[in-house]
Amino acid sequence: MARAPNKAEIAIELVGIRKHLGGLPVHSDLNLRVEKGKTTVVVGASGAGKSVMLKYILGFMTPDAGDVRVYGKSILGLSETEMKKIRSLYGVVFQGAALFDSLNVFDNVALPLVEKTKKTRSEIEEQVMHYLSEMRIADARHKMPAELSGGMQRRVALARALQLNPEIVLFDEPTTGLDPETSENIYDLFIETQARLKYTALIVSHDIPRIFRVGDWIAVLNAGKIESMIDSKNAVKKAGGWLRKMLDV
Amino acid sequence: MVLGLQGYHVLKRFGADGFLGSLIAKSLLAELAPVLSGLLIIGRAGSALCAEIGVMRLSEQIEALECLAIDIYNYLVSPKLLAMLISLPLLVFVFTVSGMLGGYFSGCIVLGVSVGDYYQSMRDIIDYATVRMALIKSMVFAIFIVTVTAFRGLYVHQYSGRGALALSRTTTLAVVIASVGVLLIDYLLTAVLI
Repeated sequence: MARAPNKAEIAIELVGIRKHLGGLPVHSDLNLRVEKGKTTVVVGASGAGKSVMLKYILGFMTPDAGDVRVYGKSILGLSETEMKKIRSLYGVVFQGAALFDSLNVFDNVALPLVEKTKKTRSEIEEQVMHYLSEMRIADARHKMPAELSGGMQRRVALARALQLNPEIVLFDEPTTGLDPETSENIYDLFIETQARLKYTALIVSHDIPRIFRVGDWIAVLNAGKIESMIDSKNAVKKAGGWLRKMLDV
Repeated sequence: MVLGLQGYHVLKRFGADGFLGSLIAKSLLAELAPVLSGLLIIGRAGSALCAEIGVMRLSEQIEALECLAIDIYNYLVSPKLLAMLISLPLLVFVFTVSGMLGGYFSGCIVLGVSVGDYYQSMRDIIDYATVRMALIKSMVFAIFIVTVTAFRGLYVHQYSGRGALALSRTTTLAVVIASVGVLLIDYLLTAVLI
């Protein structure tokens, strides 16, 4: 089981979350702590409420009960302006990449810099090309999102998410629909960037057990709550309950 | 052109075919051009705008913008509103001029109305108030069309749910609401401005 990190080390905290959607319970007493500078992976079956959990953190959805804290401060009931400040801490990689259809790869990655910084065109170009090279997609800079493979789209999404040096990066099923080799490439890129930029990462995934190698902590979401939280190095050995069942399949 | 044909035969019965230019200019500028341009724009651009923004919502592109703390109204809706505010009055002008030329063709060339009468009666009827009415109507329609179609697209998930069917429903509804709204607003504006 997880050791209890002290309060100063906690980036995101979900406390006693309860949520019903369409009359059905999604979360019942969900508690999760995401340690600062570490990677926490939340695994669970499809429909377990993993993406809904991310929506609480992003401020797109409010739980029926409980609290969502970022750096110790509750984000429930914040105004849209205050929520924007919280969101500026985040970088997000969405399940379907969520690239802007009307912009090419370069402009997709450059958009946060164009809109949110005062960098010159040449500075933006330098930074974007650096990231595109790191993601091994510099050659695709002029391509439109529809012309890219799923793996390339995720890499562009990762590059875009990192442009404003976020303190926290949230990943919603980053490798869903990708073949094993491409998934491994995405994980390699994630590990490289996380080691360099030291951001806090929260990954939601059901890519078991491949995802274990990128996480520091593996949290198992089952029946609306975190069933267990395991050190990733011992995840396969110590897995019980739902995770054990999945590993034995 | 049809307006020229119809108008000529009605006016001829009263011996007033020389006023064909007035009939065409007034009806085009005050009513037909703003309303028909508005309805055409709803079908052509309004539906596309609703569908485009709706797809952005359903593919999480709007959420991605919000996560970047980019104001979606400023980034997505404002440029489209500005474009509509410029293009709809221009289209009304083009529509009116085309209609006047069509009326000239059917009235003067085909039916033999005097060219001098046609232009003089046109000049007599076009005044500042009529031009102002056309401009105000086109600008109010522009704001209304963008508001309805953009917001329907932005909140497709709340109005109709998610998926292709939801998008199709919300686009259809946006077009219907915008079209009926334009006709209602036209009546109200005419009542106020006439």
